[in-house]
Parts: sequence; structure tokens; C-alpha cells
Amino acid sequence: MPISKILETGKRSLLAYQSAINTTSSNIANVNNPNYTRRRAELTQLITGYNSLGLSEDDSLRLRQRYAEKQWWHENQFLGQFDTNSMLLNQIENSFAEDTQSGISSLLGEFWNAWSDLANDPDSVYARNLLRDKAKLLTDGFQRVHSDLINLQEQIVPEIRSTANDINQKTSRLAEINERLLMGKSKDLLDERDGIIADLSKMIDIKIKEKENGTVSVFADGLLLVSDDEVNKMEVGMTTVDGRNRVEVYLADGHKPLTISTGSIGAMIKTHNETIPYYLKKLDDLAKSIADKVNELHRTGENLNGTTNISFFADDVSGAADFRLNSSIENDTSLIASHLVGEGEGSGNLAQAISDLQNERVLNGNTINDYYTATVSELGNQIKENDSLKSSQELIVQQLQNERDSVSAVSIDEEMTKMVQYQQAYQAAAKIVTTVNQMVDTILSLK
Amino acid sequence: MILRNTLKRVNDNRDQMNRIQQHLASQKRVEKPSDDPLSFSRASRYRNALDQNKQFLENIKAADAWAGTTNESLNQFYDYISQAVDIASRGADGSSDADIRASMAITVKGMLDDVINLSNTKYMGKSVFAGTLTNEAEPFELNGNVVTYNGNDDKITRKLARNVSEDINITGQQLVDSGMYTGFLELIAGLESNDVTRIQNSMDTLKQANERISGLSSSIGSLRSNMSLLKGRLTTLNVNLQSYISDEEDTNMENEIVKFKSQETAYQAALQSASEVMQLNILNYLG
Repeated sequence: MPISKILETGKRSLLAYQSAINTTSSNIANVNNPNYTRRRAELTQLITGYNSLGLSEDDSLRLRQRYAEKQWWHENQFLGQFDTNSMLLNQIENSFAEDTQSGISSLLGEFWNAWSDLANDPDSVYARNLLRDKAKLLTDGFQRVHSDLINLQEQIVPEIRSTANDINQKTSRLAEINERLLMGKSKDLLDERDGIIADLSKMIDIKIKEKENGTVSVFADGLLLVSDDEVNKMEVGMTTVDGRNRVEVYLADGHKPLTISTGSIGAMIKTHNETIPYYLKKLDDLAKSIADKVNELHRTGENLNGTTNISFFADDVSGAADFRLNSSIENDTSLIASHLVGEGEGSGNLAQAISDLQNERVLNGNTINDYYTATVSELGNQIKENDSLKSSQELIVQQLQNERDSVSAVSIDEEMTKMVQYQQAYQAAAKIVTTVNQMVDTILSLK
Repeated sequence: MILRNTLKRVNDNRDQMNRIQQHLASQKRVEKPSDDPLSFSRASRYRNALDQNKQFLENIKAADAWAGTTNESLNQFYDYISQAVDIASRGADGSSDADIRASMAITVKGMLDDVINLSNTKYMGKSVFAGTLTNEAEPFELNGNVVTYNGNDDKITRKLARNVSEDINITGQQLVDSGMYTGFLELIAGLESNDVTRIQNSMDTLKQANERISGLSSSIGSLRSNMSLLKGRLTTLNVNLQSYISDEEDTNMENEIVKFKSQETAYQAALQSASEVMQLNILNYLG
């Protein structure tokens, strides 16, 4: 065995450990980079005797926990959904303002009591004006909640658009990365790719297919968003169904709207298309049934001028948005009927009967107040449920992230230990070179 | 990983402390439906009942004032009629002569004027004895020796509790039916015409009227005592409802403060362990 072979091995060892320390230093440099995947210098090639000069950077391995990674991407969509849902539902709840005096339930109570006050004092201008003011507060309350909900619904649309744009940017970048990966693997590109996928998975329900060469295909609702270097962009469109605006997401090359129920964009679409219309409808039903029932009774009554058959609320109330008083009543409170036809002005029987409407089960077997309370409690339940799902989802995602990180993340302790280890090996390799040198000297000095 | 776990735990702790602090500061455990949907819906049902009861108490207050005014007038009617009976018995006495009876007639006429005035009694601008025609300024009019009633015989009904409605007024017709006005008019006619039989007849009518008026007065009296019972019941009920609402909504201070303290300890422990964990590093030990 020629001595020079040992020298060669020594040199290769020196280069290999130098490269290993280089990998370690790159790991340490990225200790706080969330997208970074830990690399490990692959020293086996040294032993298998590849005819290369030590290890190049390309020989290090990206350490991944594929299963945890996939699970993490999968669970992320629900976290994004619950997160966004929680924010939106809380905004809906704030619109109802039940924690203030201007909440509809306290306005309703005041409205019914104002009728009873009128029954106590049927011919007093004061009681009439008070009733008109309370009724106006009530209708204004309905209109305010309604317009708050509509505003919220309208604000969601640009939010959906910007999320869709964000998704498009990310998928375009993935296509670019795919294109470059086709030319050859690069660990930094793979890190960036995984980071983008993790972000993307919070916004929308995606499926990922990864090929051997590192390129990925991304699917949403069974359709391709990214395939090799091609990207299919998302577009946001508006349609009107039954007089209510709906927002829909299409792919640039398709006409069928995507069904997206999870991810932050899914939560926004659902809130816009389903949740808010649901509560709007409840509010409309409530406003309409108050107007109808009160009008029905009111028309049978007689006012101070002896006229009858006048509506208290406007006749064409179709929901919360146009819930308002009959304009002639608003201008002249003496038109408010307080007694039955033929009775004297001192009778408040009709006014009391209207006040008693509050105890009648006029709306699907519920009293008006109960129906409203049930509606806001339902919202409360939804928030509560969503919040508990959100916190358990946070735990799940965190657990998966931990699992992934236990393999992929950089631990300074480990890196430092390795550095010491590599450094010692490097010193030993250097020692070998020195020793071989001495051996050669010894040989050369033989005469 | 350690950093993320620690941060989450510390944040969770702080969120909880924040929530408890909010409960303590607002004194309310349930402010919004989502704080506790079940408690919220229960509390709002109780509050609904409470609002209604408060209104019933208002109704009772107004009805009671009305009934009080009615009662006072009825008592005065009673006094006037008793005086008239007294005069009639002196007028029917054989010791009285035509002159004395004529002067008695003038006294009784004055009394009738007072009675008519009293019959037109108003409470807050409303005629009390006019049935439901409360805007009638003078439900009773005296023209010569005729009393006309311009009101109606309708009852004013007030809702005093969830299932209790009561008629609260005595109509003018009931006064007319008592025979009070006829009695006075007869007495005056008898005295003026010096007709002892007529005076005696009027005395009978007046005595009967007095019984009827005191009957009306006792019906108002029992209405008022009824209302005072109702008032007592509603007030107790409201106290109970208030306490139910408070049970559902209000912060239990002892509970929350104990929770706050333990949460505080947990928070400090989390922070402390976090700072220690983060200092644990191999770099401390490598020379």
C-alpha cells in the first residue's frame, strides 16, 4: 500500500470535516428561520470511497419528517378556518350589540312597555310621543344591526379578493420553484417551497403531490392549481341568488365555482354566503312579524280622531332594512289607535292588547322576544363552539409542528456537539497528515 | 420548539388572566351571548319577565291613584247623602213648617251643586265618572231640576299582572243607578212643595243610594287591597328575578379572585420556567 494513499485519505478527511462544519454553521445560522430544514453532512460517501475530493455542500441531506409535515399541512386548513371564523363571528356578535343598552332585546322590552304606558293614559300626548320615540328606536335598532351586518358582508369581499391574490402569488412562486427544480435540486428552494406550502395550507384546503425531483403539484377541490411550471389562477366573482349577493371563487380556466369550505378563505366565503344571510333572514323575519302583528291589531283599533284601519308600521315592511313607522303616524301621534272601535277615549284596551303581543307565540311557536334571544344565543353557541375547536386545533397543529421540528428544526445543543465532534475529527485528520509527513521524512532519511 | 411551546403556554395563561380580569372589572361574567350562551338566554328571559313586571307595577301605581281619587269622591258622596238624609228626616218632622222646609230646600240645592261638581271630578285631566269618555269635561249637568249624564257605562280595564286585568272605574251610570241624584231632586221637590210624603219617599231613596254608594266604595276598596297584594307579589318576584339574573350574569367575586390568584401564580411560574429553560444551553458549558 503506497504511503501517498494514506495522505490522500487524510486530505479527503480534512475536506470532508471542513464541509461538515460548513453544514453545521449553516444550520446554526438558520436556527431561527422557520422554513429552514436542518441539514446533515452525509459522511458515508467518504467510506464508500467515491472518487471525489471530499464532500461538497450538495452531499448534505435535508432532514424531513414527511408524515408530520403532510399532517401539519392538512390540519393547518382547519386552524386557518377556525381562526378567521372566530374573528368574523365576533364581529357579527358585536353588530348585535347585546352588551349595550341599544341591543334589540332591551329596545323590544321598552317598545312593549310603551304600549302599556299608553293603555294607562290613552289620551295623553306625552304617552303617544313616548311610544312613537320607542318604536323609532326599535326600528332604528333593527336597521342599524342590519346595515352593520351588510357592511361586514361587504367588507369580506375585498378581504377574499386579497386572500385570493395572495394565493395566486404563492402558487405562481411555487410554479417558478418547480421550473427551477427541474434544472436541479437546491435545498434553499426546497425550504422556500415548504414554507410557501405551509402558508398556503392555512388559507385553503390543498392537496400536495411531490415528485422525486422535488417539484410539487397543488390541487384544490380536485383541480390543479400548480402543475410543473404552470399555474392556474384563482378569480373571485359575485353572483346574486334570491336577492342576496354571493361570492364565488373560480379557476381562470374553469367556469364551475370551487367548493372551498376550509382555510381562511373558506371561512370568509362561508360567512359571506351563509352565516351572515342566515342571521339577516332571522332579523328580517322578526322585523316583518313585529310589523305584521302590530299592524293587524292596530288596524282594528280606533284613534283619538275616531278614524280606524291605520297601520302603525309602514305597510310594505319586508324586512329589517325597511322596518319603519307609518309616516303619517310618525308625523301625527294622535293617529295611534288606543281603543277598540266604539269605545271611549279613556279605554286603553287596544294598546294593552298590542303590549300583550309580547307573550303570544307568533313566530314559529315562539314569542317575539324568545325568537330574538334564541337567535343571538345560537350565535353565541356558534362562537363558543368555534373557539373550543380553534383551541384544540391549535394544540393539534402545534403538536404536529413539534413532531416535524423534532426532525427538521435546528437544535443549537446538537449542532454545537457535532461541531466539537467534527472539529476533533478534523484535528485527528490533520494529525494523520502530519504523521504521514513524518513517515515520508523517515523513509527519505533512509540511506 | 421549546420556545414555541413556552410562548403558547405563557400566552394561554395571559389570555385567561385577561378574561378573569375583565370579569372582575365589569362585575359581569356574561356580557355577550358568546360568553355563556345558555346563561345569556336564561338571563334575557328573566330580564324580559322583569321588564314586564316593572311595567305591571307602573300600571298598578296608575290604577291605584285613579281608584284612590274615585274612593275619595265616593266617600264624599256618602257624607253628602247622609247629611241629606238628616235634613230629610228633620223636614219630614211635623215640627217643621213651610218656611223652614223652603230654607232646607236651598241648603239641599247647594249640596246637589256640590255633588254634581264632585261627580265631575278629574284625575290628571280625565273625568273619573264618565265611563270611557274621560275627555268629557262635564259628564254630569244640572239643568233646573234635571240631571243629565253625558258619559257612557263602559269600564276602563287595566292590566295589572300577566293574567290579571281589572276594571278600575265606577261609571257615571252606576252613580245614576244608585238613585243618588233622584233622591236629591225628590227631596228638593218635596221640601219646596211642602209635601211630607214626598220627603219621606225621597229619604228612602237616599238611604238606598247611600247603601249602594258604600257598596261601590267597598268594591273599589277591595280592588285597592287586591292591587296592594299584587304589588307585594310582583315586588317579591322582581327581587327573585333580579337575583336569578345576577346568578346567571354576575361575577362571583370570591370565585374569580381565587381563580385570578391561582392563574397569576401559574403565569409567573410559566414565565420563570421559560426564562430558565431558555438559559439552558450547551454554550454555557463549552469552554
